[in-house]
Amino acid sequence: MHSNNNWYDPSGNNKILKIVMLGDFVLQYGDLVSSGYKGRSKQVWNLLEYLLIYRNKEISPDKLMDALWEENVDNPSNALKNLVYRLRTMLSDTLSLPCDDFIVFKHGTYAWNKSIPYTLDIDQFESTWKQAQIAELDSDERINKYLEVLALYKGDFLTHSSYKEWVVPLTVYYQRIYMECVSLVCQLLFEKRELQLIEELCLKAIEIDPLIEKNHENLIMSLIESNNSHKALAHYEYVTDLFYREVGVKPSEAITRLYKVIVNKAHTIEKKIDIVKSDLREEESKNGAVYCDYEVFKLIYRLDARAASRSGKSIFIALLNVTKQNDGDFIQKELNKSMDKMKDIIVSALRKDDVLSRFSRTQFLLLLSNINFENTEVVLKKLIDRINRSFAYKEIVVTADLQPLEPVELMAINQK
Amino acid sequence: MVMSSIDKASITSNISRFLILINETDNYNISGILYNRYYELTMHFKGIREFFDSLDQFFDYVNFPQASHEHRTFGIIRNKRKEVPKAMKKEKLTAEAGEKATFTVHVQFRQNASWQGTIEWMEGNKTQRFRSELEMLKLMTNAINFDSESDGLADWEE
Repeated sequence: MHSNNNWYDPSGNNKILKIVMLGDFVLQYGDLVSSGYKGRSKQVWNLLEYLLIYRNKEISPDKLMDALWEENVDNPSNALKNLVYRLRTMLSDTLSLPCDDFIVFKHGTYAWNKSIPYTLDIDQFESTWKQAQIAELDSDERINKYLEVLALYKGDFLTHSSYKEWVVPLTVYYQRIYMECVSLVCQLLFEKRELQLIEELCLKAIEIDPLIEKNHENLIMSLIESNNSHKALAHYEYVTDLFYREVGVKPSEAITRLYKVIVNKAHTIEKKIDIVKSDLREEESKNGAVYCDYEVFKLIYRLDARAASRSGKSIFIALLNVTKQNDGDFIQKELNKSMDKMKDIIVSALRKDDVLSRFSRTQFLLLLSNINFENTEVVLKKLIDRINRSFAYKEIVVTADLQPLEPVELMAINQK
Repeated sequence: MVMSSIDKASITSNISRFLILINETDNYNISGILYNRYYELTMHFKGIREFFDSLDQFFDYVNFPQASHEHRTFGIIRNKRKEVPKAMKKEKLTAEAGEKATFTVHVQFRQNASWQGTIEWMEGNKTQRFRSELEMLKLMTNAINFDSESDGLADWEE
């Protein structure tokens, strides 16, 4: 083995081994780059991952064998020795590292050799994160530190190995830090009105995990503040849809509140009536029912309830429920597909002034006007038949409940 | 003047607002005149059955307020009632009050195969909301004071 402490710098260049574990697993030495997951050498990279994660520990061969081989292998200790040998060779070959003793074996345990200089992004990530929290920093310094932390986060910890049990807790840990930093830095950036930057940071964070609400909230806020109401509204609609789809809940109160802000903000500039009118107009003449958000649906219902005594219209609401036979659970993908299909069918089957909204993960809400109970039943029966026929998954069943709209005049007396 | 048709485009919610003049309460029944002052429609009716039936037919004809349920019958399916009740005439009414009682009824909704709206008892100067035809009828009979002995209607005996 080498004992030369300057092994990493034989030619006088300041070459140092750079290890990146956030996002893709990459090793870099000078101009040479090596990254794993190309077939044969998978186990070699697994070993390297494991040694780096437990770089502060000495790991017994038993533990390594348990982690790396789920099934029994013949002669595991030989296999491990062989693997360590292959890892050393791979590193020195592909990166032309001038030595091979960065994996040491002493006292019967294996360990990453920390005495050889190297940089590891997760170490930098954590230390910069701690620096960003130092109380003495002014807000510019703190912002810069946070931005440094965020720049280091190229993606989730070992993205390609995210299923492995020794990776999962760390993925969660680093992502939590990252999301916390995004949220904190956005707060500071709002004070500086760095809206463009907030937008970029939130978009990146959303790409990493789309279900963290705070990022959507900040993104919509930044769009509103930069007078980008159209984009803000589009994103609000995207988020509402996303949350129904993925988790089956409505977005938080904070996000729903932003909707009202968007709507109010959109009208701060005075315009001429013809411009207003062209903004109101639908872009093209559309057939089929109106599909809208539940908040909008609520408004339309309330408007109809107020207008009922003057319009004389008979109006019904119907709730379409999607269930699975034998009370089975839905597979998210099949549910999403079915709900999408259902939406298209309902929109095309109903009349232009009927309204449709997604109410929950498995429910659509309909508002049908100028129709009586008996005809509504006929319409719904046809609609449900058509939906059920179209489903590729036969065990999914649609049912409907029906109620007349309650005019405002009858609200008090009906409660008696 | 016999009614031909009503211009449906000009219909407002006043189409279902009627003045009811109760002139007779003989034989435990009511008869009188229905009058819509906005459209100058007058109809004499004899009996509670004609009162409800004609008015319902009229609401069907103008399709206001829209019925939330279809008419139900045993056996024979009645044709859709798309005609003005025969007794209804386009003429102005000069009388302003009934001999026994006067009401203004505004039928705003026809949900659950019944009527909902408001009824004003002119002599009593009271307005109340009703949820069904039965409730409206009860308010009317209360006002006419049928339950006094002179009317001879049965009450629940003690």
